[in-house]
Amino acid sequence: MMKTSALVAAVILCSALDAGAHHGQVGLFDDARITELKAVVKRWIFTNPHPILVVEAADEKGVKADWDVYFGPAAVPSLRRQGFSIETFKTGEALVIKGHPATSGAPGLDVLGKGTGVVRADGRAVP
Amino acid sequence: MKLSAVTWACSVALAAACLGAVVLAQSQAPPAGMPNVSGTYSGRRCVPANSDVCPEMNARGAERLMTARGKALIAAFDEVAAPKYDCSPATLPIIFGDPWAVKIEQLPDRVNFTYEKDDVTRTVWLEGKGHQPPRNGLLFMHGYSTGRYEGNQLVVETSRFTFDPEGYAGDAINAPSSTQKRLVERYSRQADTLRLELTAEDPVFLIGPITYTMELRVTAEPLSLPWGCDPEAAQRNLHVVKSKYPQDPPIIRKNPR
Repeated sequence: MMKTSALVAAVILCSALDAGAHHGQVGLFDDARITELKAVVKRWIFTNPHPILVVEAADEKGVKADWDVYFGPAAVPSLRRQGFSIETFKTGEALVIKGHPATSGAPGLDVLGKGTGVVRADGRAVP
Repeated sequence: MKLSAVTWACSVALAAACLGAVVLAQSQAPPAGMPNVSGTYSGRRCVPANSDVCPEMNARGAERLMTARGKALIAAFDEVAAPKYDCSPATLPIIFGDPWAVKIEQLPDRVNFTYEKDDVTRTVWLEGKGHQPPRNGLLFMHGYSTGRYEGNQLVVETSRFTFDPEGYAGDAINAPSSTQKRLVERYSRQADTLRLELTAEDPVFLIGPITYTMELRVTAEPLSLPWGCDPEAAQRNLHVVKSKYPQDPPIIRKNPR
């Protein structure tokens, strides 16, 4: 059931939240908004300059798209120190992701700061 | 017999570890008579923290410190054209804008800098050691650096930079630096703190010299190398960047092998 509901991904736009300063990717993401995705992992690109999690999620109309999830300006060394590794995400894994949406309108999220995060299907936060 | 073999193996391993530690310590110590700035450093912070230019130029700094032609270039620049999306390394001083570690090794005739970010290595040729400067017309992404010791400081002077659209700032500010950029870096170390006093002059894009001070701390962690920038990952960042010139044909990037 959980798997099914995760596969039927949804996008929920949430209210404004204070997320603090954003360094390194100035203006690319809307720090005042949080978007929540119920998504499935397609790729975990754990390389420099910035690791990217590619997930599939659908909007309110059920239209699926690939979303790129960033972790701020972090690179591999800093994400390793936070506990991430190349094994952190598996293709096909269901996740709930909260992040700041791209200001360009492109399907991209930035997971950085207050109110953002990645949670596995069993409720565990990542990393 | 078995126990003694194990003991022997442990002793050899311990000796090797000790030897390694000695070699590491020796390789990080400067030659006799030179002030010690050798080591691996991270955790950079600006002194004071609220600078317009440290660790990189902010929007207020660009407005205040760039020439009119510099501001015009900033206004025209399109993020999509930034060389970093092809994994071009960061130049100086913008490389200090990212919080990655740096290793300094002092040799009798030169000082080697290795930056975790972008796998950048840089040689500072000490004055009076017979090094010949490069011929006229040769410019370098990280410039040509000479160095000398003054008191407890390593003083590094660098010129012959290539033009860089993000020489003083990247990420939506894109403050450029010219081939007339000249840097003076003064490094000194007190206990586990490395102090860098940096001055940049650039009559093309800066209305006057910019200066800042940065401190870094010794770290026991080795550099995480190779950085290994992946062009695909770098370019994927452009998925969320809106082009300023949508009327242009799309850029099909090819990644050299």
